[in-house]
Amino acid sequence: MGLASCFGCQLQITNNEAHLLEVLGQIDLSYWQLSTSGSMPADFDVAIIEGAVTTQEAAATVRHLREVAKVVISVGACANTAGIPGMAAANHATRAGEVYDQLPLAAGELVAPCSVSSVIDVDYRVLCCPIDPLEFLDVLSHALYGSNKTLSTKTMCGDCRRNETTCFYNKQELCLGLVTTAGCNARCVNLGRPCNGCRGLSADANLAAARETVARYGVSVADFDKALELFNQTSDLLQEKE
Amino acid sequence: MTKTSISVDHIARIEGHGNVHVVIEEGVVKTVEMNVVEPARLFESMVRGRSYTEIPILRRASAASVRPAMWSPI
Repeated sequence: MGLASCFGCQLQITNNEAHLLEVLGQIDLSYWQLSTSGSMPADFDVAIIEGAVTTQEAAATVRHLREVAKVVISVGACANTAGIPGMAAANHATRAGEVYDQLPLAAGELVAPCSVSSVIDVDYRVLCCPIDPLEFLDVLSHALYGSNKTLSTKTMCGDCRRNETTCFYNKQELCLGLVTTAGCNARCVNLGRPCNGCRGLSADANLAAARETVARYGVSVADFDKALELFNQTSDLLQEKE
Repeated sequence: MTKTSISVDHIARIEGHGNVHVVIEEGVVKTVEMNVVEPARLFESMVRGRSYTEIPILRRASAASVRPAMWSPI
């Protein structure tokens, strides 16, 4: 099921070409908006939800899916942290009027964007914007065959140490790896880009120490805080840690 | 001779999904409705006050972005 999102995470699932036939041999694909045009069945063993909740209709949809599915997997930053749609959460009521003359009726009954996991309990999560195709298959296999593996809560800096990549702070460049949940093996840093925090704030993050570090390396703490909003605008964890 | 004419002159600024409902009675098209079902994410409001360096990240999430044509441009 795709909610407010770019459908990029669903596209990432289709990018598993080498493994798709093997996956399809283990499941009965009963409904997928992106690849089939059938109607939604009455119940599911596994429901996979991408996107943030931005309308009352979407909230009702995810509650319904929770009722009829044995297992729910939330995929992507939008479903797990409200992601980029969450950027519109602050002052949501007045936001549309600032930039549009009117919203079309098709926009539906808007609510402040929030994550799927803030509306219902989810059993498994696949983080990142967009998701890693192989991480999705890993999590799907946990959902199909059972697993008590939990997501890492540590921050990403240790991954860069192990990968022996250069720290962006040595170049006085902002990177959110020092407070962001590890698990992607610092993919962006390996590609030469700083972390933009798409896995969401780490439960182990120490924001005060991080800000001290940011300042010590001559990077703007205000910029750090603003960058942190990108994927954590609606994060309870961020509120708790402040 | 029966003439069938379906014109889609310009559907711009819409992401890759929507609904189209066509009602045909005895070979005559009665109504055609198009629904834009992509949730409004208010991107134009999000980018205000943000650094231009963040726009590629915001745009990634709107890569196939979605704004019904009746909305004002940025």
